[in-house]
Amino acid sequence: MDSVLIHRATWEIDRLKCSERRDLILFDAAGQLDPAEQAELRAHLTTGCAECAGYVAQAAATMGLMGLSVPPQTPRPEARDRLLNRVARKSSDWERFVIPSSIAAVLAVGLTLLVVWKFAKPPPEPTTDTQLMAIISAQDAQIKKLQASIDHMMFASLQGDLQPGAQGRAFIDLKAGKWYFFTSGMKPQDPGKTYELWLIAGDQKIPAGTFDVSTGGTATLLGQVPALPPNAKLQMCITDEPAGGVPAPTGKAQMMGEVD
Amino acid sequence: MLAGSPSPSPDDFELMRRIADGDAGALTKLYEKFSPTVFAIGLRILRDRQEAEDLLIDVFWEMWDRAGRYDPTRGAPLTYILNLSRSRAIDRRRSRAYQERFRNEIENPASKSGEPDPAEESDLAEQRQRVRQALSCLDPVQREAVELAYFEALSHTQIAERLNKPLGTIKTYIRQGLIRLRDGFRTDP
Repeated sequence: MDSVLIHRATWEIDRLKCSERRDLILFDAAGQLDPAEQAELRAHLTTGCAECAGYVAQAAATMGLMGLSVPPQTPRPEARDRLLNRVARKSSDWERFVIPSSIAAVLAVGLTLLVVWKFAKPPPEPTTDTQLMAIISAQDAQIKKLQASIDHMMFASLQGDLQPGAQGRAFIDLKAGKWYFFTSGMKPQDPGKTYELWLIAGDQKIPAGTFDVSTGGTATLLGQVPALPPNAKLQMCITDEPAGGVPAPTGKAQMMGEVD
Repeated sequence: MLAGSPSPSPDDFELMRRIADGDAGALTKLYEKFSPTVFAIGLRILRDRQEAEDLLIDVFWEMWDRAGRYDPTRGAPLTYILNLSRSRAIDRRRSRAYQERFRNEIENPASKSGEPDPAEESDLAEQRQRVRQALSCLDPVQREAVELAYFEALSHTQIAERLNKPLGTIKTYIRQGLIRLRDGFRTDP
């Protein structure tokens, strides 16, 4: 019985500490905590305390509502048009580049070869040298055709110790000036953070876009190939960065791979 | 519902869900409802119509382009939109381009806002009324200190300098003011 009471008392103290943190969480949301107070609070919040998570949501709501203290103002109708034009442009980009045609062609050829190799009946054994040469010649032609269809494509495979089990793949279509990246198995980004993809050309680190992974750890990105220095060794890298992204990498390299 | 939470409108949640599904019509509806609020926050923080308009487009674009970021378990769409608007406005205000463009005006908080827009959906209008009522309960200096913290993202040290008051006094003003607002915004019984 005593141990139950002691346990309960300890639990109540913990509860009290969290209820005391309620105000601190509100002050933090308003940017009004001293660094020491903030450090203690943030350390506690990283423990995943459910009660404090509720207070965080409450503080966010309180601070958000402050925005309603200013009288509403009607923007120009042109603002709405600008937004909708931007949405329409993005939608048409997606329709065109969800799978760029050249990549689709390469994938289709690869898939077809795979299916043929796996399931097709074996061809009849050549009976003469002439038949054998004809088969080799046809296969050579097919390989050359396949190479020609992908010689403007570059590929990168990204991996990293900080993302065990995750993989990233990038296809860069130099002819179309587009790149396509997808990843799977990545950890969710930390609160207030985002992942940022970089194209590294020699000593240049070019931001290629930020992304958040889905609950399944997947994400896709599309972009334009920037002007690249000639003959530079190309790499792609993902770092974790503050939400919204940064112009130059500051976070740890989560995954990396060479482009070739 | 959490004390201090805005009354969530089921329609807003549905609109956010449809936006995540790529429904541009839902984005338009959400824009019609909240654009005057987002634009007003932009005007208050940025003090320039063009900057506020650019902010407005960026905020709604982000809601469209990164719709997956909104987590309904963490708060109502209104909370998300208001906090996103304030955060992006503060980011814009702190940007080098803004600082250079408005170097002489940042220290002169004269508002450049236009005429208020009286038309508003009733749920939003009611919440706005509740917020104004809660703010009106603060004494004028306390209110000013809280508004400087919110709209200009100033620290208590900066606010103490701006209002020419002792740091300890300002800290107390702001903290008490925030608690009073939280209690004043309470929507549950």
